Amino acid sequence: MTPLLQAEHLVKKFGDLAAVDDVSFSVDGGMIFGLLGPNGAGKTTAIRMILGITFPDSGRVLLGGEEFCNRHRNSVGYLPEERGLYRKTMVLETVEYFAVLRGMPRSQARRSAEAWLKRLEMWGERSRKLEELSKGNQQKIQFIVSVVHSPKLVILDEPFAGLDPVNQSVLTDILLELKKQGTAVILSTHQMDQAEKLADPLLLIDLGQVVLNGPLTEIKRQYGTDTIRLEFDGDGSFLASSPSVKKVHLYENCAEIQLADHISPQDLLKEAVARISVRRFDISEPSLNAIFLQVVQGGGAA
Amino acid sequence: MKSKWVTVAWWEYITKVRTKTFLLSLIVTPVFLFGLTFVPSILATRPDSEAHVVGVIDQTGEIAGHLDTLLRSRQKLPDGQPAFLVRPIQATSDTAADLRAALDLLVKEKIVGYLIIPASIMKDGKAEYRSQNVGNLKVLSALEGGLKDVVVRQRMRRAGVDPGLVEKLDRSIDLTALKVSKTGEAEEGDFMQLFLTSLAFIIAMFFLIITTGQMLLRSTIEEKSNRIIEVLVSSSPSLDLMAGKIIGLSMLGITQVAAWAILGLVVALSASVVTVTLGQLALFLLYFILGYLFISALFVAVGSVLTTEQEAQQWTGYLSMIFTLPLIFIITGVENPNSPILRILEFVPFFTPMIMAQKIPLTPIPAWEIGATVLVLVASVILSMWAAGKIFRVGILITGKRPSFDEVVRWFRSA
Repeated sequence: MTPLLQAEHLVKKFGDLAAVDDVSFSVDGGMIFGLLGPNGAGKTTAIRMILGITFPDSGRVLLGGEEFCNRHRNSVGYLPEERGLYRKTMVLETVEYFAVLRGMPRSQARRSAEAWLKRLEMWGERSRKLEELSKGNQQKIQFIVSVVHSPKLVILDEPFAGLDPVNQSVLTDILLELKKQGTAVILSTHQMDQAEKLADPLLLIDLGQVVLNGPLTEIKRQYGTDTIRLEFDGDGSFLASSPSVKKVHLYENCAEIQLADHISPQDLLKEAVARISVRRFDISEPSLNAIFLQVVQGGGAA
Repeated sequence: MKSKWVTVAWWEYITKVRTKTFLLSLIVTPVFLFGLTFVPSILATRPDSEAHVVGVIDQTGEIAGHLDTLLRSRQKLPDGQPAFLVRPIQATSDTAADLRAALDLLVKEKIVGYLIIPASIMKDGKAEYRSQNVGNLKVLSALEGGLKDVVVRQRMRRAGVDPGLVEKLDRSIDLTALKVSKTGEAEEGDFMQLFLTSLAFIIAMFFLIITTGQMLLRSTIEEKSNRIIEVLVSSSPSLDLMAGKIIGLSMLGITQVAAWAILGLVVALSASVVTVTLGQLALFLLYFILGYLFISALFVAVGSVLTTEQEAQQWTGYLSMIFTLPLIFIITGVENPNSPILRILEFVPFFTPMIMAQKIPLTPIPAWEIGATVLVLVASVILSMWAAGKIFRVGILITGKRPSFDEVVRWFRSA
């Protein structure tokens, strides 16, 4: 079966700088696809090409096997990273307008807008101007605008920004529900813990190029299970120079460690106990965050 | 698939037509327009309620009395009382003393001013009027006219002409100007009426350019500055977006003009100050709509290159200036609507709407001229929309630094 979305060898250059350089991936319905990368990696440029906002210098975007054209605009939804709503118009009519603009008949648009506003507890605010809403509520409206027309593909750029924990979990539930209904969701985010919880498979790009691409478990396997999480009291700085350690992300009272070849976790534990007071020691898969930092060279700026 | 420009046009129209700014402009502009054109002329022609007392130092000894009689019979207040009263200031051999006496009366506000009629007036026809306010044209022309008639009659009498004959010969003349159409029909229309009608047309056009130009730029900039544009562009083809925007905002402008036209017709018909025929109005609307579409396309193109409100304001200024440049020719136009310079400039699309708006009430315009200017305008509209579409396509995604002119040209080629 043809995937819902295929991006093939996308290239976009701004002058001499290649913002996106030969990026390919595909997304299926019923999938939350994680699009990750540091600032300036080319995520937004890639998204714009998928949505037909800009066009690639070379490569192509296929939706349901067909090259992207204006007809497809009705079956995609988009939540941009920066707020993009009219300030002076009312909530309900704005949501309806965008639904109609995406090709929904007006009566159906009204019903769908009502359902979504109720779902996100915004029905009471339907007659207020958007500029009067709080940031978090504006974000909810922005989200509704991206899904109100029941698109097959939804692209969300940092959807959790500005939401409190309660609304974050409401949004998480909705995303999982969309996934269950067969919608393809592309989730672009810096928040690795959110990505780790929700997204699978993942695509990590840096400097316009694909660095990682695949299912979460595969990525984790690729980066080994030799990550040791250590919590301690005392001065852990010796870890950085220890020959048993291949790589370490050192924090105030804890560390994520990759062992050097042929060193067993026991060896490290003995070494650690001799120097610091160990409170917790476990062996686990690396966190997505650690992988992210490891892969994106010069890390730490995530 | 249903065209999305309809949706966009409706949205642009409905969200702006109900704003306070728009409703205000519906009312404020005509009031302002009315004030600007009619109030001065109404004030100027309004009769006085009190008589002007004018001092006269008559060194001939034979003028003051006749002038008083003449002015009393000629210049009346609405209640039938004379509008001018002559207060003779006894001319003595001491001219300086006479002047002091007159000045004294003026300072005490017993008189509004004083005439000095020298003995030589019969020969050289020169006299002086001194007043603290010499800008009152009504007083000046009444005095001048009266004095002239009295002096001329005196001269005739001296030349031995029978006073009865003088009376007969000296009937004043009333000139009525009739505007003739090509078919030979004559309609009455004096200069003031034509001038006012023409002015009303021009000012209506002027206000539309100023107010709606600003609205167009604003609306594009708002969408850009808070990234609505990304959602819009991903939802519908940019051509639909631009066309929808231009058409929606044009409908807004037409609503405005239609409202003013109805209002104007009511005023015109009831006061019969302005003479417009339905044909003229239709022609005006045609030029207005085309001109509006042309202007909108240019404003949208410029708006998609700009990023801030300040820049938008600046550019509204520049663009409006180009379109309103024909205001310079307003007097030329009234004096001679068929002057060669206007006939050339009316084919420059930036000026066409304004110049034609001015000419419509003034002179019958040959069909070929209407056809040709409309054609030029239609071509310009199509061309500017096409160009605006290209610039819009790329320009709308630009934020931050404004692109250089070279860059815009490059987009133009590549988009």
